[in-house]
Amino acid sequence: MTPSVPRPHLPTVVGRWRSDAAVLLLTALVVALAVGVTAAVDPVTEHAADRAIAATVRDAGRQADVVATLPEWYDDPRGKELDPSTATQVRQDADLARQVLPPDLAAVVRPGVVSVTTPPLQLLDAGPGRMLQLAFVETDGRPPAVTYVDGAAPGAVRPADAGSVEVAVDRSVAEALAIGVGDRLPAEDEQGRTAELRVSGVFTADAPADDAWQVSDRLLHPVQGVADGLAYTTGAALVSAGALPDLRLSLPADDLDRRLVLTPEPSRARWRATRSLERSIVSLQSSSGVSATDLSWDSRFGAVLQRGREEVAAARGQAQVLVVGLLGATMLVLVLAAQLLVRRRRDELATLRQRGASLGGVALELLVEGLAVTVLGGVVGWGVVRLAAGSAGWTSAVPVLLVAALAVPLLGAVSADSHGGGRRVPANRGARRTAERARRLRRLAAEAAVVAAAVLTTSALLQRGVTGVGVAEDAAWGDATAASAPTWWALAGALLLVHLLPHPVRWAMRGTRRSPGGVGFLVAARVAETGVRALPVLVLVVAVAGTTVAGSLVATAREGQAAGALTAVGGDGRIDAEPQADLSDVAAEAEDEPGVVAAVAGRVEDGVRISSGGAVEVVRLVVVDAADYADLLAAGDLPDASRLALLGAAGGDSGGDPGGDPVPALLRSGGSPLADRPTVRWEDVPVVLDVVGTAPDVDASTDPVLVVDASAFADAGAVALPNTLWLSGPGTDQVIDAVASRVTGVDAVVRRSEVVEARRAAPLTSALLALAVASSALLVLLGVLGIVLSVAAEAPERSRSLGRLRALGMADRDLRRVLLGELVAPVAGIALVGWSIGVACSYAVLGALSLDLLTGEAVAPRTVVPWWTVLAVPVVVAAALGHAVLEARRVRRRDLSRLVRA
Amino acid sequence: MNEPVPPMVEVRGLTRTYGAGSTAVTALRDVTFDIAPGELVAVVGRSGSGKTTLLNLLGGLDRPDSGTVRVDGTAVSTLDDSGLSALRRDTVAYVFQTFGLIPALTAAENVGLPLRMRRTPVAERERRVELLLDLVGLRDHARQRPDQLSGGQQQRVAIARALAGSPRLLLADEPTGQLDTETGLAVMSLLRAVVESEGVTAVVATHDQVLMALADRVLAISDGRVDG
Repeated sequence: MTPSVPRPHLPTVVGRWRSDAAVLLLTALVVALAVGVTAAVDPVTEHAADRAIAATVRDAGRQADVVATLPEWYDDPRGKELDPSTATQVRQDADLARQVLPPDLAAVVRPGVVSVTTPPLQLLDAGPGRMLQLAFVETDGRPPAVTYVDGAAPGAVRPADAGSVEVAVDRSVAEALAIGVGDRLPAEDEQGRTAELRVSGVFTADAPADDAWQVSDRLLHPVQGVADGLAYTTGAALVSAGALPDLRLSLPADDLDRRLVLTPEPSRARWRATRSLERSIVSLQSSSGVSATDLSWDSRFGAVLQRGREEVAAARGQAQVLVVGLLGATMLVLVLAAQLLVRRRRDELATLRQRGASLGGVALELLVEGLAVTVLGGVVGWGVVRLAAGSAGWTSAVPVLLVAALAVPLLGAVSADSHGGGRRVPANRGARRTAERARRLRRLAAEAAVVAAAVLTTSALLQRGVTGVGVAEDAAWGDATAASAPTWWALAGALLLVHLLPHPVRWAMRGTRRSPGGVGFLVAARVAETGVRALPVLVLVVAVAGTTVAGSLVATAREGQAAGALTAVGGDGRIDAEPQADLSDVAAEAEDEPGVVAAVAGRVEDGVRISSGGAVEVVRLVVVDAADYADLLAAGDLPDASRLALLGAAGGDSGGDPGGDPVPALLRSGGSPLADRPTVRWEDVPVVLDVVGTAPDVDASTDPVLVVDASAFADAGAVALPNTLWLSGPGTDQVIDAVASRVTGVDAVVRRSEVVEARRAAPLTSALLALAVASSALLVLLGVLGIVLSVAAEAPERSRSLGRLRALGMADRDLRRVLLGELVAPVAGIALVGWSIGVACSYAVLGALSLDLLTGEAVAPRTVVPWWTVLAVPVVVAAALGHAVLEARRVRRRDLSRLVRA
Repeated sequence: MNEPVPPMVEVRGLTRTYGAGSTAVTALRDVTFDIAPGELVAVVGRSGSGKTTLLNLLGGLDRPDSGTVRVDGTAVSTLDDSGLSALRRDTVAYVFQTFGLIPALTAAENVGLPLRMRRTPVAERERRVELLLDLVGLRDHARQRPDQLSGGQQQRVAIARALAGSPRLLLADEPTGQLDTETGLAVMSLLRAVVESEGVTAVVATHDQVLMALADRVLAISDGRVDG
């Protein structure tokens, strides 16, 4: 005979639904909230990741360009001839280059800029120091839009003028080089090969921001300076498609650099496509030919995307820490709700079992109910997110759905087995003791497993962070093991609390036992009875600790962004300008402005080459008055000001004499192999440096940074006119525009406050902070729900006890005090411990969350635990207080004669 | 000639109805009786006859629809909530069928509860608790919790607790209802003994023939009316 499959009795299921509608709806609400949050995380993460990648590509600017160097033209050694189809050839070569682009890369780049450029040619008509670069530029088959203020666009020269090229220049270039329409300019390249340039027109650019002008900055912005004591001016001139054959005829092929520059369109870059794009770029670069006659590719777009992807991975891991905490607390609350339901139905389930119902049958009936609640909550939560966000994930919610569906059937079956008389109790005392020991061992093993999980996940977090080593880059989630470390610690701490809590309660009982009054003693006795149940403690501790970690993450990120912005700007404000001697005077005047504590002018030059032994390194060189700079750093709470004192001992004249005293320098190399006596060439003056320490951790340079004292540098024969003015002080924002108005050739005015705001508004940062705030609120809500459920579970027993005390003559006021003490005191204590665990977790794990990728700091930001995280404690205490007041009223209203008979 | 002794309990025209309209059930109808000080009165009747309702009204756990109850000269039915609390604390004590002990407290602590509510000095409280536990034969079980005691022992603790505050009136609602015959008999004998030793007036609702025999007087309730 085969056992029959149990079938649920639907009228019973419906009846239970009706009798426990409030708890079931609460369960459905918790499921809906959890599913809603987890469903929202996926599309929000995806959207934020896409925006972050777009922002990274946008910020990278020209670094992200994909550059194709077209094959070098062939110069027939027997002599060149004019080729009228030159422009067409260039366009065809560019089209061929586009065709070899992988489709995914082709989809994210704009049509591109085709160019043919020469090196700067020395103009020979009016002495040295005047250089003009020639550039043929087209975007989508059209030259950049210009308006001619004089003359006309370049065209082909007459055959009789072969060897000449017509060019057009921007008005600023014409003024800087003192050239005009009709001028004939003899020019030569570095090898002394000559050509004649004819100025056909002077123009102004209609759209200076057009990609086409990026081919050469000098097309619109001539550069003037001094080198080797001689003034120089460099500009660039446009060559039209009509004049391109003349250019090709006039200059040898190795002077003509033909390129296709493809600029990525930030809005087309998608996070999920980054990995594929990186691979495409690598394959493109590896396909480059080795000779000048082959098409070759160069781009840092892959590195830009990789950096963006790493930031997204970090933010994703950080978000996962929050979500795992939220899911953990949610599952505990669901188990608590299930426990309440099962407790309310204990007698009914026991009766069912006594009447012969199988455990499977009992569980099946409860499973029908659990599935209905889970599906209802899940569909509502998922549906709301789907409607609001357009898409919704579901995989993260699976654990919550499983717990919601299975908790009641499992706990119900256990309850029916325990109370239905089916469980055998050993007859002899020894066997009972053994069974009890086994039960304790099982519990101890479970608790040890939790502690082990906490240790192992923390180890994983500290070793590999949250970005996920070995996790697919485009996976929805990162390293869940590492991300769960704070939650495991909260659980482990809560279990420890469950073990420790009886001790203070016993002390309280002992302390009040010999008091004449009854309130304190009864409170201690009731807490001893009900206040140390494991599950409510776990819920409250995980919720409050999670809230604290989330709040600390927000505060740490925000503080880190402020510190990172201070470091990046170098003060409260910075003015970038063209090099000028007057900047030091402006700095001295700025110090007298209200609210300015310190102002320093210095030279900041990127791309400076220094050599040491056989190695050459590109560095950022900072030439500044060391004492003033130290004052500035100290005034702005910036790091490492004291190291600048090492630069005070200026060396002797080492200019051009490697044997002279070297100039003391501070170097932040980031692992650069520079030796301690590198040489820097500044405007052809070699300066030997003596690296005496590490440069202050200031500015956002990715290259090594070299700081030297301006006086010592000048003594060595190198004069570096300042081009940067830093200001520090609370009034910087108000005065910086006025200070900038006194500076000529201002490139940028940078306020720290604006940098901070920009960083906080960045897609990943704002999304993560929003998630942290939302998860904090939800965790507090879950904590409150945990209190409500655990209080509700004990309410009948508490009501009976209070009824007995009323029957014994306890005054209503004392009854209220007992109730408040019983409900509020444990919640306050447990919540405070939860907060302490959250604080400890914050200090332990936030440093490993790669928050520096969000804050822009070189190192992990200093962990900040704001005072307001402790507000979670009064919130949950207020919830307990509110419940106590309501319950006191309910107990008072209840018929005492019924209470005492219960 | 001696002055007539005023009754400890004076009940006049007591009526209590539960519910309203067609579903109304009258548990007591115009009940009138007196109980003299020191008397042990057994209230008997079938289940649902109104025994518990009568005890609840005497002890101030419930309020009558009409009629008056005076206990030791105090009009119970006119007292407000705090007056009723004071009455239960100082004058009337209850012994419940389900014992009504606080599970978190030991036997001694349960017995000492009424004294704590009166803020009795600790030394005096401890003396009284010891005396009462001795009286009910549970001196050796003072530190045990209710779940470590048998049903009879729990009821004895409940009786000791009821007597702890030296009440004038002891109300017991079927105190042997959850006990076996032998234990019930022991509890009844104890009740009789302590009533005499403590000089308490007692009203005991019971089905127990033995207690009826031990009682000074039996009040029979039938359909909400008292005979006897």
